[in-house]
Amino acid sequence: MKKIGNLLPFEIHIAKRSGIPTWKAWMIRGAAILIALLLCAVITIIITKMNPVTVLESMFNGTFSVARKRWITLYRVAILLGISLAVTPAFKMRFWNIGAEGQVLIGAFAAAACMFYAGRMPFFNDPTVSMTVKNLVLFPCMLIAAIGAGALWGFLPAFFKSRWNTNETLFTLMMNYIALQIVKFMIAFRGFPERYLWSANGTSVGNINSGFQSFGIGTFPKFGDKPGTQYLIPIAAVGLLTVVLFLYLRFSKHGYEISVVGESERTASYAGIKVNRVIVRTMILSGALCGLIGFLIVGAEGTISHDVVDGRGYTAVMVSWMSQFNPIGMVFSSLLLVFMQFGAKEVAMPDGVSLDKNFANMLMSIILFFIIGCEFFINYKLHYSRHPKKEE
Amino acid sequence: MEGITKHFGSVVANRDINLELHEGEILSLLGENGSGKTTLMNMLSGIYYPDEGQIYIHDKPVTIKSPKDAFENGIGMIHQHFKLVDVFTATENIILGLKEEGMLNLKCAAKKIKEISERYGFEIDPNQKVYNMSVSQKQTVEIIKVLYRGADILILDEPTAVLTPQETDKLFSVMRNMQKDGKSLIIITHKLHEVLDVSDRVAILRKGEYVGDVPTKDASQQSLTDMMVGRAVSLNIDRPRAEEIRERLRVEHLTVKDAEGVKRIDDACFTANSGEILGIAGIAGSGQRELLEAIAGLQHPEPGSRITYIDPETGEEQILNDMDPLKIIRSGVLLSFVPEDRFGMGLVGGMSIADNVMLRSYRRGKHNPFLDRKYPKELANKIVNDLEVVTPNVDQIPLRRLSGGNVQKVLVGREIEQNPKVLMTAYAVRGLDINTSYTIYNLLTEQKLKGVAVIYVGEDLDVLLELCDRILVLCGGRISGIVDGRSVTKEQIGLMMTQHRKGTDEGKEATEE
Repeated sequence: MKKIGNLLPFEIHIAKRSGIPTWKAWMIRGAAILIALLLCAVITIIITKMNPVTVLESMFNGTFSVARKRWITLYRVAILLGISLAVTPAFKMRFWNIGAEGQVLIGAFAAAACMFYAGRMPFFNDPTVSMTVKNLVLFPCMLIAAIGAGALWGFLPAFFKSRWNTNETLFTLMMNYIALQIVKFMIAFRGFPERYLWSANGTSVGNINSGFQSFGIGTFPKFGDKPGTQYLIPIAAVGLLTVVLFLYLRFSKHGYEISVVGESERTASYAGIKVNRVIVRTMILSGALCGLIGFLIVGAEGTISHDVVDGRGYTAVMVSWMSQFNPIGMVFSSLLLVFMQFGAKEVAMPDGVSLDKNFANMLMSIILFFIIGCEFFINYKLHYSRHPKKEE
Repeated sequence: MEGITKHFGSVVANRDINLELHEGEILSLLGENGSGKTTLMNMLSGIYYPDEGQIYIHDKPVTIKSPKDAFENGIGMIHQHFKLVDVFTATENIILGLKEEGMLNLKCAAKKIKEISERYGFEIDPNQKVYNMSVSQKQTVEIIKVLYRGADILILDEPTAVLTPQETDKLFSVMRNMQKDGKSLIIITHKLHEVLDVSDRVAILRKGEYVGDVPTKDASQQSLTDMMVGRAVSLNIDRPRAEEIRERLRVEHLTVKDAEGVKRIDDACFTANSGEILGIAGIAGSGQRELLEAIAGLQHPEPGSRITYIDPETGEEQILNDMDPLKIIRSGVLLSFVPEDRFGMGLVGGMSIADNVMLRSYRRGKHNPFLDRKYPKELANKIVNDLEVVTPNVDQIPLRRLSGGNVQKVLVGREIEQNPKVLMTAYAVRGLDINTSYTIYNLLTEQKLKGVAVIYVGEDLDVLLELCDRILVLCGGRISGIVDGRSVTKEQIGLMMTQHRKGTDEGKEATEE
């Protein structure tokens, strides 16, 4: 540090900013994205000798070109956004909950279980009962089961934390593995009588109930038979959730309590807030919302597997922090992440510009680096000063 | 120091300051809180780096970029908050961080420490562990640490804040010994009588600017205050007697233990009366915090303790212990509590003034799940106007960005606005300038005349003696006496503060501070 300092003709001092106007903060963020894109372009040219605009175009095509792709992209944004929203109350409370992965998965599992066993019940296989009625019975069951399972997965770590002060990070991580193993067990446990298991081939259940007359119950309907419209329900649900959570965090008494507990537990108890109760309550909410997203996933995709969440429980934590717990900001961060991630896959596809998938991932990392790194310049200010007269 | 300027964001902490320190001199650096004393000294000791200006030592320009640079230039600073490793002995702490050639030689170091102690009149056992030490012993270790490194310029940041009058006298005599040895000392303080006591010259800062310096022999308390504030101020606190004094809060056999089972408050019995300010004196960490927190319901007293609140209208008695804070608030017992730790306990730094004011009232409208932001905002505006809080707005800027004095005003203002029946304050004027301090004293007196029972935990004995009707003296968690504020002397209180000290208890408490 000292050596580098001496090489430069001036000295750099880092000072914490006491405050920054909002417009200036957004200017810095905007500049960061711009620089990141420029850097991406330069790297693209150097490494691939391709026109960066072509690459970007290809990514764009991969995510937005046709209606089907637009639906899928929006659906992926909705799921990531939904999980991000779900983890936000806990993180705002400074409860280091990394259990969204497991909470979503167990929610999905519960919803799938309802579908699976319903498909084997006589009522749901009765051809005289209309599909609408079957779904009207089944959806609430799935919803309640999923929310309940997610809430339980959120409640346990919070309860143990409030009662015995266990470490929530390890606890929630452990709960992820439990959820994962439960799902794996039901799909692929060898040596267990096959009739109890959900999948005979041991990898994926495929479309749940596909072999029964009841095929199609428990999955979201397509509107006007257009492909992709089965994603409308999850997208709309998450849209609503965004608004609700925004209002909850910003204007409700609960939201206020969460902020106070997050900033200082001592201040909270001084003001008469029962800290443990707020922690448990908020984690139940967080887990329940994760469970809800699990239900949306199963309802839209009609299948379950151990990687149905695909790491998004962790990505969501990043989305939530990147947006500084602002639900509206999360819409944009999740859009960006989904665009980068799946656009990158598109670039890697043979019909896209043929580029390695890892290259696209690299571009994504650059952009993320700049977005997260620019927070440093928002919080700190650099001072430059000339070297003072040499001593001695 | 020449033309020193330092900004923090848009705030100028020091503007174009020229300060001279002569060899063998004790210089007092005087100024109100927030006037930039500590900032200036931090630049001298390498914690901050000045934006502009140059520091000269023995007429040579130097660059001080880190505390290490400062040590190399013979500058050592003793901070307000000690930085010692508890489980180490004095010697181990003193040589910690030194990179000496060869093997670690504790015996040799201990010998050198003994030498230093004898030369300046310190009393210290090099092999005593820090957790067994009293606050003043820890301070001694800090000072020797600096001397051991060969400092000849010593900066002491409010060294007397944690000491009793007797210990202060001892420190001052040590300082004079160091001065005789040719060392230069800067002492930061805002206690005027100490300035007059110990220093040769007084330099005064006001709002980040250098006002001037005067030889101590030409100065008086009044003249120094006037320079500090910039105009003539009256230093007297009004202490009218309330017409009606009635028992409001009765504490019997209160014992509070901490998580380790150590008694923080031991069998305390006293009453707080309406129309009275009950002062609580004691060395920092003598159980003040625990006492107040137990009354506010934030700590659970041991069985056998009894805290009774007597309702002023009906005369009905309520037992407060084992109620949680919310129940205490809900049952109509209006205790307002200004905790000593502003952001740690009373306020939320990241929230606006209005949102902080809401902390006390957000539950209004029981069945409405949403917040009413209008009422807190009105109240916040009222506090801002009444107490002259300097802030751009009440509902946007996070409280953390306001200066300490303004933050404190918000806290005190909020608690008074609750129309309390018992108002407890811990260090209510800590960090406030003289004017605001007097505003707060007047507010407390006003509350007293309104029939509120005021409990005031203070650190400045002079203020306690002028403000309070009765003074309760704490020492190591025990009450060593309750005396009449109008007739007691400072020396008497000082003796009571140290009446029954136990080394171990003291050490533990101080580390928690």
